[in-house]
Amino acid sequence: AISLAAPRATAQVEITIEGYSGVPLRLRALTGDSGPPATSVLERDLGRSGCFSPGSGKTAWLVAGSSTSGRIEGILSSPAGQEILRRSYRESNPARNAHRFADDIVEAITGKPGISSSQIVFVSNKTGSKELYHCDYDGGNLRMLTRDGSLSVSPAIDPAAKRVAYTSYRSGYPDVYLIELSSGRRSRIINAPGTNSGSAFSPDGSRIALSMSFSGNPEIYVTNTRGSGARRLTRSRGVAASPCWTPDGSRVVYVSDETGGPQLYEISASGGSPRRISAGYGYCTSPSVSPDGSKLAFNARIGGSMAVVLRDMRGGKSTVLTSGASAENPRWGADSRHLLYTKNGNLYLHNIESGAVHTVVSGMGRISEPSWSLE
Amino acid sequence: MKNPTCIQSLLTAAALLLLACSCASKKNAGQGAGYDDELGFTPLPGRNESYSFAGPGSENVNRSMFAPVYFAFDSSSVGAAETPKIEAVARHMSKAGGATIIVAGFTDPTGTEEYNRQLGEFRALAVRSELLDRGVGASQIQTVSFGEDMPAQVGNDAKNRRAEFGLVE
Repeated sequence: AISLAAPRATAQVEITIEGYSGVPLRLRALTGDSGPPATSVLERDLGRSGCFSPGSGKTAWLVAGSSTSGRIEGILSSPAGQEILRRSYRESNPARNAHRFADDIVEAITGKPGISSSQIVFVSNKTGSKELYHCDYDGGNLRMLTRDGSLSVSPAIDPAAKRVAYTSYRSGYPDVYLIELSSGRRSRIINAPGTNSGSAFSPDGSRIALSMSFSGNPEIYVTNTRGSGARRLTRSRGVAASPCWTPDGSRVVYVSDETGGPQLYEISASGGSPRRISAGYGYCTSPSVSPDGSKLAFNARIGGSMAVVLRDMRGGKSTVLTSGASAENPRWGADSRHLLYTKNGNLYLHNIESGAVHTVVSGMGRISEPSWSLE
Repeated sequence: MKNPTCIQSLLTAAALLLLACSCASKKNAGQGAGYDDELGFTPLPGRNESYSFAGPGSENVNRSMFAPVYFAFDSSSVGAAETPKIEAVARHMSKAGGATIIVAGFTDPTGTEEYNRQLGEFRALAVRSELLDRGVGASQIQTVSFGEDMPAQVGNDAKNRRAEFGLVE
């Protein structure tokens, strides 16, 4: 929503930030030749952050600046009028400059990371075969990552958004490959006999947890990012799948069906005895631990469809977040406030505090298995 | 500790076996990865990429010779009604000494893709275990899982929860 605070085009235009509760914030339209598109990205980012509410006068923080040829000179001032942040954003991609400015504003005011600069990788069958795609958190800058005409599945983008580990069947067998996003260089890092998939980067990006079955049973292993030095974590008599890390990198949460239906377990990242997480449902998969370590999101089969369920990591009861059609593979954003998941083949962003849901990508065949970076 | 010599030689044998297995796995896994393994499970044989179930080299794999083994929802137990299919495969494999078979596991689309991928592998491994019990050599069996991808019949869950056989020709 754009509200003209002053009638003259040369005067300062203020944009009303979409918000429910939060810190009062004013956004003054950025001046300069690329001011309007930059302002529009900022408006959306700040609104979706869920951190702010519309403000006025001397009670609100003020965002202002200019944008020329896609570059941004951004300024953030406190309610008292003190300049808190003044920074140049000079990447070649205009939207990314606005995303970075938005995250800097979020972090300066709330002390917590934002999600606007983050990257998403997902699978789509749009071309008739499953390929990987890469985009910004809002679906912008969408590009196709693989073109193999095979099955490219189970992607994991590393927290710093530099690399993607995923499983490809291009050799005829499910192997793990690593893509360097900046160069596009791809190398096969794991081709053990059996099925190798479910890659998840450790929070520091130095290790990968995944399932491998070469021992004769699907088990969780941790390897380095060259696929070597594999260390086996689980010793199960069933399926061990879908590992994810706790933010300190000390533990891995995963799925095992040793006792019947799939259940969630937690194990030290150096091995040992697993501990079952009693989530309260007979069929639980696809865990994701929030970056602040406080919450667990996972899928539970409820009434024949898959629901996203939240649970406090310290225990307590589970809360069902979604209803109706299956919502699958919830993944936390850097702010521990947003979840990404797929529903009806589309990709959605869900603010668990406000309940706001935004479409990230739709109309691309069937989207599945999203992965979300922290930076 | 009545016979320490016997225990000692048992331990030595176990250590040698572990060493042999870990070397084999290293070679199989490539990149010199230090994969360990465990007694009680039969490790998969090394990968031969000159053939595959549904990729490069699949033109040399006969996927219609044996009937698929079907499973109940979220189960990898081979039911009594399905065992004759496995016996037929075992009989063929013992006649055609040295033949290789690929067991491919699949699931219905219920649930999340990655769990289904591992469930499919577990189904393939369950069928492999039945073949091993019937005398087929571990080096003759490869497993692969496609999870919920490549359904036999879209919308027919009972037909999609399956393990298929691909005979390498």
